[in-house]
Amino acid sequence: MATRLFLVLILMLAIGCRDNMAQNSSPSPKRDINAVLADHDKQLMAIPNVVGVYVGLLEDGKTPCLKVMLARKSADTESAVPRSLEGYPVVTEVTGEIRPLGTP
Amino acid sequence: MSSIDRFIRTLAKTFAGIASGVFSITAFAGAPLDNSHAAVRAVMAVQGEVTADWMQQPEVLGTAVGVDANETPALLIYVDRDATNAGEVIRNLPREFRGIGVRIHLTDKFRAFQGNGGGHGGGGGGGVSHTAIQTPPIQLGTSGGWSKDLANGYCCGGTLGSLVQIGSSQYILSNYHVFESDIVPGGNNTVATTGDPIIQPGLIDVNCNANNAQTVATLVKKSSLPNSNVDCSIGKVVSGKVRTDGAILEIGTISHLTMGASINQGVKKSGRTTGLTRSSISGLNATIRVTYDNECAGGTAFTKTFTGQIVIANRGSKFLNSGDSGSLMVEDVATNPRAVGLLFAGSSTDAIANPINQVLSFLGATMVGN
Repeated sequence: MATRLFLVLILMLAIGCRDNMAQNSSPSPKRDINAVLADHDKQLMAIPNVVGVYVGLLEDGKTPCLKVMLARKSADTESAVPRSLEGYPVVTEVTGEIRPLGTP
Repeated sequence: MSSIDRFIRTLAKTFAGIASGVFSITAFAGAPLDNSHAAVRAVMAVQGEVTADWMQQPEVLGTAVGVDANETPALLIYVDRDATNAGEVIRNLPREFRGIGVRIHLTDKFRAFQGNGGGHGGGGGGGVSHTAIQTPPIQLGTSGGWSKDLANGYCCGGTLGSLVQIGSSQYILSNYHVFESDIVPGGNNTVATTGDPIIQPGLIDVNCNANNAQTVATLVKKSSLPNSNVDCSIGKVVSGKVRTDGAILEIGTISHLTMGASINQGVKKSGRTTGLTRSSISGLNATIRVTYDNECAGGTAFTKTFTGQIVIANRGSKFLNSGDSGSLMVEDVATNPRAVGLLFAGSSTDAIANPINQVLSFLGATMVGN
């Protein structure tokens, strides 16, 4: 019985060490996403067909990302937009042109 | 008062009774769990955020602040025990929201414990017209615009969104492109000028004939675009023409305070085309490119790149559509909501608002409210 308990203890310590090592090997803290956006918005807005860029969340509802708004679907634009910036995911979405909403 | 109003008021009283009962019981156990208690306020904040959305499901009868089995403040959700799909609704409700525990209570339908009154003609919230001419003093969230906004075979307009104060005077707040974007003689041989009439409803809703509308304010040209980061303009109220409390159709009075935007925050607006609608904020700090005309249905005046804007979910243009420009976006709470943004642009997937504090700062104004 004591041997089993000892083995369980060793196993728990091993798992704890592995988790700890995983945390230690994670990349250094990322910059604030708004600062990342501020440094890259001009670059993204210069891509043809891009009408906007903002800070949003991934579909999981919690992971911050940069969203790039496209006037229309375009493979060329998709390939020109980076997949990530400074560790943050960059996601494209087709929004259409953003226009003032008076009438007509 | 409509039956819906009566129902909501009765519901509110019922919940208040439940809540006060809960509080008085738990008060014996420690610090009183009243409205000043931090944990209670946290639950109330979540309640204000989710109630309108969750109650769009007919099976959800109401919400209240209560406590869980550990006497910790929690959000109570009342679900109709007679609903055929009550189980599915319950499974889909979260057990926790923003760190606040959510408790489900099956209950019978709530009923009003009072006799029927006489019943008034006219509808409740759903029947309010945002395009009809109003008997002054008018409420805002209504059709309106510049009286001469007619050119190139079209007439234009938007929404008289809200009321602001500068010094001792009150002004209607709307957008630059609703009040003063005619900057070339072009198709109507005129340009927007300070002192021009601001009318209700807008030309688009009176067959393009200003004689069928009423002057409620006079334009004070601010030229916010193309150089500033906001799309705003104001009209000085003509005495007696606009409610001095700044009431907005289907929203009522608002707070004089403002609040910053946050992702997933519930918001609502009252506008000319889509009326009272609700959505949530999906993005912040947006850089957005928007192209403006030089008059109604005219040529391109300039393309403006805004920064620091608020993005709101607008699938199918259900939250914001053409003619809603100028609407004030407020937090989605029932009483005296705080202003969050000035809506001005969008597409069929996203709506865009200027942060309200940037607008007020540009104008040197404050919101009129309680």
